[in-house]
Amino acid sequence: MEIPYYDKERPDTGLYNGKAGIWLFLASEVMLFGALFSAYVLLRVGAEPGTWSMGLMNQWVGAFNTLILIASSATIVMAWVCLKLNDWKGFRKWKWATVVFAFIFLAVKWSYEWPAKFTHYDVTFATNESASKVFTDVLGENFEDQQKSIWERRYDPTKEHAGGVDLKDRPLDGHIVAYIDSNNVEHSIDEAWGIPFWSHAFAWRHDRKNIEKEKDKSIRYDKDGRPVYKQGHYRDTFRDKDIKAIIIVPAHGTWDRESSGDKHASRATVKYAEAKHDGNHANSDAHEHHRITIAREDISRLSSYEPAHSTFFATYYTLTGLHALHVLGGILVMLYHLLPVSRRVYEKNPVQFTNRIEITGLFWHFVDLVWIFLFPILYLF
Amino acid sequence: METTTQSETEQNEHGDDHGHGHAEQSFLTKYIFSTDHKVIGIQYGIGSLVFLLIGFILIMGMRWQMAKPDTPVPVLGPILEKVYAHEIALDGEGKTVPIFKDGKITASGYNQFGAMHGTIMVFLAIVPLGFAAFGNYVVPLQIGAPDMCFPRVNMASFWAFFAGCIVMTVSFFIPGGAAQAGWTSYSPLASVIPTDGQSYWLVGMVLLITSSLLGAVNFIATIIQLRAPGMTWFRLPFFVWAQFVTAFLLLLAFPPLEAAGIMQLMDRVCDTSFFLPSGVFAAGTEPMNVSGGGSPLLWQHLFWFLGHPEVYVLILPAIGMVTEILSNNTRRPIWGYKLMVGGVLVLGFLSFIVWAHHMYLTGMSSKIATFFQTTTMIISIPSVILLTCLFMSLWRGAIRFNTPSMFALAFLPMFGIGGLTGLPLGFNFTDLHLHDSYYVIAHFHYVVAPGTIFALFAGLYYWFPKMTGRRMSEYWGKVHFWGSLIFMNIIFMPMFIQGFAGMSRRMSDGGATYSMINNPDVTSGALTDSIMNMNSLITMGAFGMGLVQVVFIVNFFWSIRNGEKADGDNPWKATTLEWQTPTPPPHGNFLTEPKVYHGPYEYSNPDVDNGEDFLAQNDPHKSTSEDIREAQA
Repeated sequence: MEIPYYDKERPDTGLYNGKAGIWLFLASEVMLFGALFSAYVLLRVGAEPGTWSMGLMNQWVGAFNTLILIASSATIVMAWVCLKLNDWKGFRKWKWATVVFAFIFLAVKWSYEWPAKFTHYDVTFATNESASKVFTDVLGENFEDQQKSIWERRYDPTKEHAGGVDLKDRPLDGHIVAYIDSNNVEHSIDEAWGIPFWSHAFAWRHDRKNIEKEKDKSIRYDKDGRPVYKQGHYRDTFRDKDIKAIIIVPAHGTWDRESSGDKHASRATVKYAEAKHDGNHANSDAHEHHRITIAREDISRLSSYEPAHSTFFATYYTLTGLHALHVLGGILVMLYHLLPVSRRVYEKNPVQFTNRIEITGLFWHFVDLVWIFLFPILYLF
Repeated sequence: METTTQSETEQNEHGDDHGHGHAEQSFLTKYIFSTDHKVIGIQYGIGSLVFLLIGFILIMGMRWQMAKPDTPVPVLGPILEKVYAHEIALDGEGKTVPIFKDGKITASGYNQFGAMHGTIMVFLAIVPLGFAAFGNYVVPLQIGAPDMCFPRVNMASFWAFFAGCIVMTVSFFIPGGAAQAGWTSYSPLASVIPTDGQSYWLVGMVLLITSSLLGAVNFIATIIQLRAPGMTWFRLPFFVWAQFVTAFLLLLAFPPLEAAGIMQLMDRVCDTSFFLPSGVFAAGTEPMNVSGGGSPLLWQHLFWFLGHPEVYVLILPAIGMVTEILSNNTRRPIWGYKLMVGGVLVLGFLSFIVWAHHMYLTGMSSKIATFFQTTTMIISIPSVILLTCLFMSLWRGAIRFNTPSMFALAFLPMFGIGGLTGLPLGFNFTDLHLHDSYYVIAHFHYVVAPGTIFALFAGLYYWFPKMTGRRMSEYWGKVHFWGSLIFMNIIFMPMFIQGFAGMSRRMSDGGATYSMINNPDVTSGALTDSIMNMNSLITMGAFGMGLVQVVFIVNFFWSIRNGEKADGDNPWKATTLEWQTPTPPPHGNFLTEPKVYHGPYEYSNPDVDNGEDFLAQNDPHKSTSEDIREAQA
């Protein structure tokens, strides 16, 4: 049984079946991402001052990834053109180039951008006094001005000013290098970080509201003494590890610029602790190797830049994660087209194989287009 | 009849050979992992009928508990007490309490049954039956295609549906039990509810949505690309048009719910706050430990952006089937075929801009409410056009009162009641009173239960001879019909009255506590005795309804092997192409590629001298009046 118009165009619609299918599929994809973009708009418009921290994004990394994806869109067209001209070698060359670009994109995102965020922390304070004490320690006596500039870099300066927000609610950000337990024993970062970066995000959290619930009997513990969480329980590292204070190296909202040479996030942090400042900030000399000890009582909330950090990061991870899954799917399809079996498919029916490449290309352009929308809304504006 | 005779002889010559020189497929590839649209259609049909029954059993348990709040549920209760999930107690010791205690449904169990009744009926039963099962089986045959456009995608669609069904079913038996935040899964309740059933629900929904998207792409591409020569757009049977619009609704309305589902899953698994505002309280005196900044309204918007088109996903295939069956059994062309096509297209478009009429109680501004009231009133116009055309088609018809046509005829007033009672809900000011009352339940059940399900029954009786070569019993079919019609109205008509009287939905004891009916200290409760006593009447109706369905189930399975043999390939003397192939159709559907010469409803045309009162779409006989009509158009 042959399905009509499998590889040739139907005269009245001008489409072969696969092309009709992919356009319809892309229409549904537009609605999927459209809904997420709408959610972005609604959440951002409704966000309170000091919660939409998109200034933390590294625009140059984003721009680099954008260029990579645009380049891959060009190479995938070249692959299709080569196939149209019966140039099999050229097809393979350009297709491999596309796959390599796609891999670079994912590598930047999943081995650099995300891990660096998972190991970077925000601390907000229990009282204005404790906040003032810490900020004086970090930025000097006249910390207000500097703090304002950090704030404006971090949030949208046209809309949000630090002035309206209590000092205790302005976050200090940095890398945790050690913690002190209730026996006053200091545990170095390596001990605390003996876990992969992705679970790191969920391992280090604290919220002051949990102190009152410390004796919460609804938390059960397994035989190793680790808590067994169930739905609705906030994971709290301080409670679970019996932490008295943390030692943090401030980063002043410049979370990945200093560490841009590093591939691995945890090394990046250690290096940061020893690094010279790049001179971007006033007073920077005074604060190198600056280890700040913050007692547990002074902390209102501690969270890395994980999805639960804020609605901005939740949106960021959901949008870029879903997009990255599309990139991954595209890579799998393209690798399939580079397997030896494809040569046999091509020789059996060149038109059909070329159509497949065209359809893959249409999907790839769509993935590219989604990123072109994602880049400005998450990194730039 | 010529074409039919020809195909019959050819079928006899070819015998069991499929007529295309195909290698014989193994049992597994032929019946389980099949890419044949007919087998997939039947797989969908069986799966969705099973879930139709499961959804019905859930509601029977609930109805029992509402009529008799303190009495154990007979039969179901003792079984569920043993196998059903336990609830995680909030007392802190990690203890669990049974959701079924002493054979009675607790409030959480009631919530789970309610949420899953809605989910199962909508997403696992009626959409798969109307859209996927009948669509798969009938649409490629009606347009003269050998199969769907992408047979393997079609198979993937079914297996994604199957996986979704498994996840949904399993969620009843995990610790904590199934989802219990209603089929709408409003956040923040759904985000914080202490059972993983809600996460299962979300994963199941993502699988079901994937299945629907693959199906929708396939249907649209098939209808665009694979129409047989001569099958122009205005020669498509109306059922195909209805499926075409339905597929577009699924294609474009489902992805926003998928996005919302992903976000709610993030809320539950990664502790984000997409739908949780700052300082939200949940079962306690302290705000939850979440970052906040989310919006519960966002979920409602995204949900109802799917939810309202979903209503038309439920009803349009039904209208399509009723159109086919009525035209065939009145032996008349459908009145206003092009008007109906225009109507269904407008309906499909408008259904995307009415969603917020489900949300009047969220405190939206009167300007926005006005917009949605207006669009809601406008969308009733194409609905009324469709229904009017169908009523007009009856005029001066020689109606054959067989089982499919009786179900189809009953569809018209039932859908009419359902549709017209929706108008007060479309207006802001009346909705304020009626919202979340039993009036709403009665309204949408009139649309879906005696409406869509009657049409689905009609379709089952109508296409059964095509699938099996045998008819279902007419006598028991009529028993099934009259029983269903009577009991459906016994069930749903009193709910209008209960709703007017102010009975809220989702009360696990049927309003007993609310009405204070059992409290000797209260002389006059919030609900009067007569309103409360309707619960018993409705429950009796529901059990009668169940009894009548037993007749259908027995009739269905008995007739597959023992039913009266259908006379020829075209027992209903129908014009459309699915009746012009051998029964059951071979792999590849048609022995020779059909060529279409006529519109779909050439019944009782006096100009045709082929010795019959109908003109099959691929019958090369000329019809002068048809030529004149086409020239005029």
